Amino acid sequence: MAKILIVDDEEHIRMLYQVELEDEGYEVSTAADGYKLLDKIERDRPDLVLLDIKMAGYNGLDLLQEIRNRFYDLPVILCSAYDSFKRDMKSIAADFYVVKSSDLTQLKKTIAMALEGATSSSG
Amino acid sequence: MTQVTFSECGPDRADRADIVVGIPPVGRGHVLSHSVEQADLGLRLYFPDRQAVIIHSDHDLASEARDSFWTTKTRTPRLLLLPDRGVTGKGTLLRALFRKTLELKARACIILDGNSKGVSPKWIRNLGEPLFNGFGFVAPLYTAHRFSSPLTDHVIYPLTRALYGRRVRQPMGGSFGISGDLAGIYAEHPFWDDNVANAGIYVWMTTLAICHNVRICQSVLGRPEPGGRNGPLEESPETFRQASGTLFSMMPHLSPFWKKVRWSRPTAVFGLCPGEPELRQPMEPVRTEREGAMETDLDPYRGLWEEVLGPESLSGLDDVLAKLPSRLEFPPELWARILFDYAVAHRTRGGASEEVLLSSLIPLYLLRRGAFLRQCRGVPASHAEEYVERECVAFEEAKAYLTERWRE
Repeated sequence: MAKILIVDDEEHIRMLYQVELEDEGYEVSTAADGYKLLDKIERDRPDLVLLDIKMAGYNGLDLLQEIRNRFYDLPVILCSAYDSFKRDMKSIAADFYVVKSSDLTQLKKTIAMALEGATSSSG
Repeated sequence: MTQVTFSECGPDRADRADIVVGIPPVGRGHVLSHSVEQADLGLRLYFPDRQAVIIHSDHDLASEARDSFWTTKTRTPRLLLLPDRGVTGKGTLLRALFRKTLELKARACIILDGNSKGVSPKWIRNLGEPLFNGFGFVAPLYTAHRFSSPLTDHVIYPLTRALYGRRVRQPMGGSFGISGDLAGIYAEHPFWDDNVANAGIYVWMTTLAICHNVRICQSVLGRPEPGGRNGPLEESPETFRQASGTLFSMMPHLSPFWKKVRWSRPTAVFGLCPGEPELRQPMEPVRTEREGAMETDLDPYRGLWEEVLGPESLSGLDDVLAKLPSRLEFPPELWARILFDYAVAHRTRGGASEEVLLSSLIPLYLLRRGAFLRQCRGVPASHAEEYVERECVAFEEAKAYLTERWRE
């Protein structure tokens, strides 16, 4: 099953996502911020990254550019409480943009699409 | 394919180069001077240790642009590529540039839109630097958005993205960066026709870059000047036919690739400032008289539409037409299916009837564009892109319909 890395500075979000996604059969790891994030990705080799945008001390949109430059084909889904960041051109380097919600139906559907898209484009 | 020969002229010698900056033919000499000056400055500022050459290719013997190319003072060597008499077409001239890039063993080739007054030294940096950092194809990303390039927004971008699975926002944007390796692929690629030799060249380049799995980057170039490339006034029926014809003609050759693709993937983005938001800026709206085809007599096309469109598409189109002129509503899902129907028809009909076929698509395109403009009226520039995004998602969702019809 696919490995998902959750990057979010809110602990309850990390826990919620982890429980729900593990229930879906995904293998999940977490990071509380962007510190040495690229090293962690290099080490853990996730199949997909869920990336928060507004984190204490880190800007998810800038981290996204670093991820995309180094791991060109790694699917990244931006997760934010706000929909306004999708108008920032930096967000186009993400596969998808999801507005946070306690109902994870949309997020799960988006994860499935991102993984399917990544598999088909690498074929 | 006929091999076209070119001669070279110029006071400068260039046997080798790291970077080639190519400027295809333009109509206005003073604007070309601007691009040449900015290219020279950009090369000196951002690539001072690289050997570079600026090349202009032009088929017009009495070209004012050619004069301005020579009279503009540069420190970078310049070269002019002249095709045999009678040879025309932007695509043909660009292919000569790719061959020259190969001959000079250059690692990077930057194509500059000589018609744009917006060219600055940063364009050279943003189109060139990714090529020395692992990327093979750099497409332009303009910050301006106000429906400035409807052919791109409603046909070329959504189709390219849904078919080949990469989100290259300006697949015919006029300024690009390509690696020396990719220039080699372009110089020798067997797929070539009259459409590619003309305005279809950029669609061809983008499509081949995606299908050769080249790492793609989009570089922020700021806003193009109104009236320059991508301006709606430059969008002629001929450009429409050549660009869409290129896309459709390539599909049978690339079907093993696109049939496997589901959804779409992003590219890297270059030229953004960390910590600073990058928002789209407003541009002059498209003139209202270009909104739709409601004044066009649609009856002559009816017979062909009945041949080309699937039953659901035809019924959907009848619904659209029945509401005219009081209401203009053209759902993106219907538009996606219609374009896919045309792709299938192009494969089976093609050839001599291509012009007739693609001409019959133009009124439908104008209707879709008009409906889109009405829907987005009053929407701020920063939000307009979301409407284009919805259109693209509709194309990706409708792709199963294409795959099904392609089997017929």
